[in-house]
This record gives sequence, structure tokens and C-alpha cells, in this order.
Amino acid sequence: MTALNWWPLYYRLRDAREGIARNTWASLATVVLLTLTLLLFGGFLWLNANLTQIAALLERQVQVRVFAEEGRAAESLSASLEAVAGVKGVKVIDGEAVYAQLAPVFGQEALMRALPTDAFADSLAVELADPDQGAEVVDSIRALDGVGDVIWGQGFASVLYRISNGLQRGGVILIVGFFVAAFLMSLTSMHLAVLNREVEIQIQRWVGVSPWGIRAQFLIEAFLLGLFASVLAAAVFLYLGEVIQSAIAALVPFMSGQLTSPVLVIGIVLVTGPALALIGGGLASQRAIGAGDR
Amino acid sequence: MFLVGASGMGKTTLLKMLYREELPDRGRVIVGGTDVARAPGSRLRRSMGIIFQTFRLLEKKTAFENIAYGAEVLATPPAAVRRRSREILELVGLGDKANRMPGELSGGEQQRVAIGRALINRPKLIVADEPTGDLDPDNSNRVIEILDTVNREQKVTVLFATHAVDIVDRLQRRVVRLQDGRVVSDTSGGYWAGHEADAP
Repeated sequence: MTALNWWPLYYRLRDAREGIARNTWASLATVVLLTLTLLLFGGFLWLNANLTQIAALLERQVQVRVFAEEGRAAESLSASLEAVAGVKGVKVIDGEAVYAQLAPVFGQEALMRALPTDAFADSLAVELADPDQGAEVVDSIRALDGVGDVIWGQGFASVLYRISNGLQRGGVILIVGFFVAAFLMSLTSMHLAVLNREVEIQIQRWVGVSPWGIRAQFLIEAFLLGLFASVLAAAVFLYLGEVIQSAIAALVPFMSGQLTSPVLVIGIVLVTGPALALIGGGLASQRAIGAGDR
Repeated sequence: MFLVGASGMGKTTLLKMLYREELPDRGRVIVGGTDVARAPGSRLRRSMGIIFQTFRLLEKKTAFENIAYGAEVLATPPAAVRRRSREILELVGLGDKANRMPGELSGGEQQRVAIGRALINRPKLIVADEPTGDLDPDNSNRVIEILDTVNREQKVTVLFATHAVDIVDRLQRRVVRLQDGRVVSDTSGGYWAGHEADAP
């Protein structure tokens, strides 16, 4: 069995380290830009991964709760509510069921001390077809005969939806912009690295190193820059992820534990950084050295 | 072997075709039995050492490191690189200047480092394109002595392009003369062998 020869890797790593040191500012700019891009990308991915949970929360916000006038059963309003334009569905909410839901939150004994078991009246949960039309639908419901109180999120949900949609659209544009900038920066940095080592490249050609052998040095250098940026982004993301999760848990306790773990996103970030830098390094070295063995 | 001819007669172009920097428009170039046009350039150049008029050394590496670099990029194990580099430094007479940077060496010494780099991978053929063009007579003689030693003792073919009459006359080796891109004579002896009428 032939022993694996590690010397090529050792020499290439040494040359790549020297190259990065020689090209300090361009390398630093590449790492910073790549890190920012990866942070945005990771944040966006994480936000998307959690969108299902956030959407469920928002859906609860767009429900309109309707109470019947005193002395009238909530169920009797179902048919007239379903007939209102913009209503997607109506569901009867049993007051006792609401009480039962609250018991685990506040504790059965504390709840019994504070409220009688019939504290909550039966109500109707009305789901809106279009949250943007919520105000008109709620006005129509209020005008119905037999309707008492109508509780609605006063447009908050639709605002959240708009912000969420805007963030998604803006986020994609921002991330694409940053990706392009990071890619161009890594391309430029590698191009400078190639120009800086014109003599080395010539010497390697003269002694018979293949084009891929010459390019390996620049690819390793790009990989190291990308890896450094992605590890930095992953570390920041891990820290911020913890902070954000803690903040959400404090602000919205029922969301605690329901948010997606950032581990998968960190894994994607760790792969994306080196890949992006490698493409930049590959293209820059391809232009300068070529792939054919001339 | 000397390749002689006035400037612009095709010496450098012919040498470039040997190490596949350029390909011929017509005909074939055979080096060591290999058709240059059909061989991968890297494989072809591994059997050669190439020396130019300009030294093209790495400014941030010492004389030793410049020579070693030629072997390192071909993934030679470090112990072998160190041993061979020390041998080469002795051969080119720079054993005591191994740790000098190129800027601390004279032009002749820098050219000797470049020769060392060309010799590090034990080539069968040295292609030298006017390697003494930028050197004073003393340093030129030193370079010639080294290449002569390599040729005689290590049996390495040295193809030396020059228009330095004194060097060619002194060594009395095979002389191929180029004129307008064509070989006009292939003789032994001095610079003007076979062309005595053209001598000044």
C-alpha cells in the first residue's frame, strides 16, 4: 500500500497562507463582505424556516371573535355570519373549553380562585378570507342582528402580514445584492492574488506544474477565506440566534421552544461561504492561468 | 550546444517552441523523442530547466528558498528538497550565501540562483536564452563555467542561445546558426566556423 503524500497539500497551504498575508486588505475586505452576506443569508433562511410558526401566530391574530347579545345562543349566529362576504369559516368556541385551555397556563387552583368555571361565554371564531379586508368585514358583522361584542386585532395582523411579505421581498433583493457583491469581491481579491504572484506562476509553469496544480494554490486560498468568513458568520449567528430565541421566549412565551433550531442554517452557511469563494477563485485563476495544459 | 545569430533571427522563438511556449506554424518540434505539439506542456517541461536573461527570482525568498521552490511546487518531500538545494547551492558557488535575499546578491549571483532553480529537478535539457546578456565578463564566465560543468559532469544537454562571440569561441562546441528563422549552418568550433567570410 502506498503512503498518502501530504506534501502537495502542505506546500499549497503554506503558499496560500503567504498569499493571504501578502494580500491582506483585499483578503480582509473579502472576509468582511462574505461574513455579512452569510449573516443576512442565514438570517433570511432562519426567518423562512420559522415562517410556518409565525404564520400560525398571525392566523390566530386574524380571527375575529364574535359574542352574541345577552340571552342569545352563540350558535344561532353561525348561519348569518357565514353569509357575510369575506368570511371564510365560522367555528363555535365553547366557553368551558376556553377555561380548560387556560387551566394549564395559570394553574387549575389559581384559576378557580380567580374565576368561576362559567366565566367565559360561548363565542364564535370567524376566519377571514382576506386579512386586508378585515375592517369592512368586521363592520358588516357588527351590523348583524343579535351580535354583541366583536373582538378583532384592529388591523394589527394585516400590518404584520404586510411587513412580513415586504421583508421577504426586500430580503431576497438584499441577499442577492450582497451575494453578487461578495462574489465580485472574492473574484477581485483572487484576481489580485494571481497578479501578485505572476512570477511564481511563471516559475511553476517552467518547472512543469500542471495548470490545475498552479490553480490549486488559489483555490485553497479562496477556500480558506470562505471558510474563515463562514465560521465567523456561523459564530455570530449562533450567538445572535440564542439572543433572539431568548428575547422571543421572554416576549411571546408560547412561541418558546417552537422556533426552528439554527443548527441546519449554520450548516448551510458553513458550506455556502467556501463554495462562493471557491467559485470566485476558480474563475479568477481560470482567466489568468487557464485549464488547458499548454 | 550554442544557438547563435543576430537579434531577431529566431533564437528565442526556437527555444520557446522547445518548451511549448509557442507552437510552430509548420513542421514538428521533437524533444527527447516527444512531439512537442502533442505532449502536455507540464510533462514536457518537467524534463527541462529554463534560464532567461532576466533572473525572475522571488524577492521575498532567500537564495536557498528560491532554489527549493522549484522542487517544492512539484511536491518533492522536504528532506529531499533541502538536501538537493544544498548540493545545488554548492554547485553554483553560493553555499555561503544561502540565506541572502535576491536584493542582497549581485546580478551574477542572482543568475546563479536562477540556474540552481533550473537544475533542482535534475533536468535532461537546460534551455538557456542569453543567460549572460545582463552580466559583466567575470559573472558571465562564472555562469558559463557552471553550465559547462553541468554538461560535462552531469551529462545534461545545455542549449545556449547567445550572440556573445567570446563565449562560443572559448568553449569550441557545436554551433547552430539561425538566420531569418532558418538554420543556415550546424558546425563545431568557434562563433564564425563555416562563416569566416562574415567575421568582422
